[in-house]
Amino acid sequence: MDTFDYLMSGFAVATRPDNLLFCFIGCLWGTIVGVLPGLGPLAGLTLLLPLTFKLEPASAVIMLSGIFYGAMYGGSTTSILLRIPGEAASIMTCIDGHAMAKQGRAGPALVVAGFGSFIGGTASVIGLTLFAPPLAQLMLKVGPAAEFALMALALLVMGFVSSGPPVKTLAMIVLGLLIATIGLDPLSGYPRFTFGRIELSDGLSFVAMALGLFGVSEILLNLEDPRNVKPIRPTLASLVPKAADMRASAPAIARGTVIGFVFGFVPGISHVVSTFVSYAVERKLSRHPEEFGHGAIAGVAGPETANNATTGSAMIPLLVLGIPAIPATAILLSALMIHGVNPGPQLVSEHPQVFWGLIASMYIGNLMLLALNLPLVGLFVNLLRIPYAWLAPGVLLICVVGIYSVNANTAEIGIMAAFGLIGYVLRKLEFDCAPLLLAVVIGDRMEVSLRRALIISEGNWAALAQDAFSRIFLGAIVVLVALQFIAWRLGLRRKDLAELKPTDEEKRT
Amino acid sequence: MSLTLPRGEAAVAAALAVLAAYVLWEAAHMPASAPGQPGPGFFPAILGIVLFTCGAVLLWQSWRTLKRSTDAASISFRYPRVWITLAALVAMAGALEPLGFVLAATLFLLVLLRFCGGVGWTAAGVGSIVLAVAAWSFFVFTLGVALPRGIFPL
Repeated sequence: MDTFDYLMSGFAVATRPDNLLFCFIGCLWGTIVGVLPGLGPLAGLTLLLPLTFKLEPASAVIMLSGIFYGAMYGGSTTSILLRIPGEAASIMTCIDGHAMAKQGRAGPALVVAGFGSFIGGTASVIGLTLFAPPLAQLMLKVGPAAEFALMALALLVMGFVSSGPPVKTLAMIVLGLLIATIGLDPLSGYPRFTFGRIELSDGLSFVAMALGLFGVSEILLNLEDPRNVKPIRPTLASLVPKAADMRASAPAIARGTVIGFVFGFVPGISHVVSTFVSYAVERKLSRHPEEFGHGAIAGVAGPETANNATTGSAMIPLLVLGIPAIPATAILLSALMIHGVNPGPQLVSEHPQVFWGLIASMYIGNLMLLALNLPLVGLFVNLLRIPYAWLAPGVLLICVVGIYSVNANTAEIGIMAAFGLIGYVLRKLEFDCAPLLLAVVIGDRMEVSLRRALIISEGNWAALAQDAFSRIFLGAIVVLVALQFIAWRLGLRRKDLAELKPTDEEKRT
Repeated sequence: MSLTLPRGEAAVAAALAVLAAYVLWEAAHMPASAPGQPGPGFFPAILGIVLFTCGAVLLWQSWRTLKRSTDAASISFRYPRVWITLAALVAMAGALEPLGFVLAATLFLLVLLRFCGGVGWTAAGVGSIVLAVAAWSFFVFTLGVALPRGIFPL
């Protein structure tokens, strides 16, 4: 049997009426939890996991993976409409998506995000079908040194993308990395910056920080003078993207698909890194980079596509090697193991109905999500009609429930409020909060990979550049820094020349 | 309270430098590992040094800006609605488990609707009860989220 025959046998499993129903339930549930602030794919998967215990393995994993990529679709909605990222991968969508919503263009942003998600998701499933086994083998060669170099590259890209001055951005990145060190040291178990409090052993809740820094701070800024926040009454015409929007989005979607798929292999933070690499690439290639941050549709299309394109490739390390690439796939791994299915190189031969059934269901699920999400755009956009006096308290209440539902810990509501205040003050003083939050996501993994690489090499720093992958990533860092330096020097020279030229007034005198 | 942008930046820079000094002090007191092997204080120490440097550079930059410009626009933090909202969130964190979700959410919404949104007492009262009960029903019965019941059976 070749890949096509296997895939057809997978479709036979996935198109069974019961599995179609489970796939639909998963997609619908995933969209709901993705739309609600705080309830991301992790919470959605955890809440529904016990319900899958009585199902057969293929049905269980089809439903759970539906939640996973459904939440990725849904996460863009609150990011665009309310500037509240449901999870880390939606942070970049907030920037231009919400700016578009403020200009009354939430409809096109949501439609483009939906199409981008569909194309990215489907293309990555095709990639998963074709390249899963060989690429998974290649991925095994990414060691801790290369992983550290990749994280450093990701932070550097983030620095270039940020709207703030370089020193402020660097300070925010370092602050984020420091926040990530709170809790038990991942290698020795030593408590760091916990002040003896057991609740801080696992560090600060990422969801609480994200909701505070982005969602609560946005509401606080708007509440300074709520009269400035006018309800938006969308017309049917304003919901449909214009031809220019589609022209600007198409290349961003194509690039986002490739970026998301490639980054999906790297364990840890691939879904997050891929979104801001995509954003950086789009801004760099744009003829109007100044529009980014103020409602550039490519700034929505690229990251949203990349975010969903990781879902397929993130399944490759999970299914073929048994390594969960991102936290949500760790829940999928536990679900498979509960059903007696051990992911790994033998999965394809031992449980072909699970492996190929899941892959086939992802094709169907992506189509279901497109059909589910596009008609809902009109409904979601109507949220912006609600007067702010009512919308703000409602959103804050949903944030409170969302954060409480993760760990049933009221202290996390306080953490959300504290980070809301921090985000409010920082944003008023023109500090960009996105690098801080992304550094929190990366920090733990970055530290572990650096220390592991140094432990393996017995403290030899040169080992960080010894394997091929790390050399590629470090080379990219050097090239990026050099390009930035040249651009800075050229900018200075142009400024000097401009200052040397006499102004019109000087010429007259 | 209101302050100019360079003064605000200077305040944040000073806070970052103090935080970095604390991090370095804590990192120095963390247990050392075997020679050549980075211990738990290794990464925070590197970050502490970089953060301290950033704080110092930012402080110097804002001091230079302060010296050059005398007419910087002032940034105000005197917005009662902002502080009421933050206080309501903190109160919600404290009241959620003892009072239960429905009562705590009703009070939370009432305060925000009345004092931040300027909604009349009657509309705010009715609206907060309806929204709190609707949120409870949706999260508990539809999504299966466990919310505290507190002193009420709901």
